[in-house]
Amino acid sequence: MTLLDGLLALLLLLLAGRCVTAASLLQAIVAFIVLGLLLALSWVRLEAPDLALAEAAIGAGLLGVLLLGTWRRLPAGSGEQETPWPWQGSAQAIAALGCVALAVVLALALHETTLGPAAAGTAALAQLEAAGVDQPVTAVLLNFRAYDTLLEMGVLLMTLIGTLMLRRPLQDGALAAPATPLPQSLARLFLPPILLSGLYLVWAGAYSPGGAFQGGAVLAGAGVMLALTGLLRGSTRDDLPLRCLLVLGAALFTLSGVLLIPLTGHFMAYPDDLVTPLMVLIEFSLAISIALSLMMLFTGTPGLCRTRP
Amino acid sequence: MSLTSVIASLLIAIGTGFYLAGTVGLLRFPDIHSRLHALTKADNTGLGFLAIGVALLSGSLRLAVLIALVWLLALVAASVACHVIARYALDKRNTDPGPPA
Repeated sequence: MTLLDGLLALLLLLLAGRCVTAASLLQAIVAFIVLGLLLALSWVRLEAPDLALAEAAIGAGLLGVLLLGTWRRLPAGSGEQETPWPWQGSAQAIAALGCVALAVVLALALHETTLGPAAAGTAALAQLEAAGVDQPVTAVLLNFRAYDTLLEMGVLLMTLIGTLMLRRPLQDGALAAPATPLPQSLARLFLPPILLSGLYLVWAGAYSPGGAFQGGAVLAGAGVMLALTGLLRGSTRDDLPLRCLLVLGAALFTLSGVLLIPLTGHFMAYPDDLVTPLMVLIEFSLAISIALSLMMLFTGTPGLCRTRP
Repeated sequence: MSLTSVIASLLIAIGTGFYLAGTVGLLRFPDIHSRLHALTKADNTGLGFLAIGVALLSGSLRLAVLIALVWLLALVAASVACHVIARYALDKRNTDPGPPA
């Protein structure tokens, strides 16, 4: 399999180069999406299925949709002109130098890193019994390093708020009704299996690869499909229940961390007999918030509503 | 090497052959409709052969059913995507006749 891995690494480098040197923005975006798919494949080869799922759903799927949506809303012709070779502008030269320096430093750091017997991974695996879930990745994300995940939820929320303030929403006319009824029928047909696989991915996070981020991204993909086919559209009307769902993940995560202090004595520590139901509850609430945040990053509106037929 | 894996490898090879043909068609055919023709026909059949081959290799009925389901969903989605692209190209050509031939 060395041949396949070598080919994969070579293709990744070529596509990454293509992303920054492509003549048009659209070509760069397409190269980036393909890069994401191959990156997911290389995570599979590195035996990291959790990362592969996240990369395929978020990196290649949703990010591609967001980039293509942005591209469509650019004034026609902007970004299509011949871009100069990267190291012609001094700013680009500095950025390129910085990237090379970072790569060298990272390679050195990786080279110097030695995994001792008391490495974090070994310690986490040894404590897996106490984590309340069987999947080590989920145990690290939701329990051992819960604080990191909570802050990530904060970052996602901040990103959404910033985006909503900065960008214009997709107007009603921006997504013209499709000329054929087929996409809508397809969306209606595909919605149940997509929702099912999204929820399954969230649930599966407790004992196999999957989890809130992967499942949430799949659920968000279902929402994007509904928005693209015109079954669901963004609304500029503020929606209180929707806002509650957006902060549900972060709020529940924080609350369970704070309210259990009297029982355990530590922030974000969970008592042994409550840990499994708490993990599942937190996982699902995180997934709901992630799905809605990602979807509203796409529509760019503070609310959502069904399209009346 | 058992008979099953020989048959599976053969099916997978046929499938990748279809993919190769579809890709060549996508790159070499002159307009959007013939490109779609090459891509969808070849990809659907190619994916079908790949799916049967992989299902044979997996040796588990549950996985085989799941793979068949994936193939079916991909088939439906590809057909609708093809239809939408062809429709868009047709509408564009009708509204914008371009230079007279």
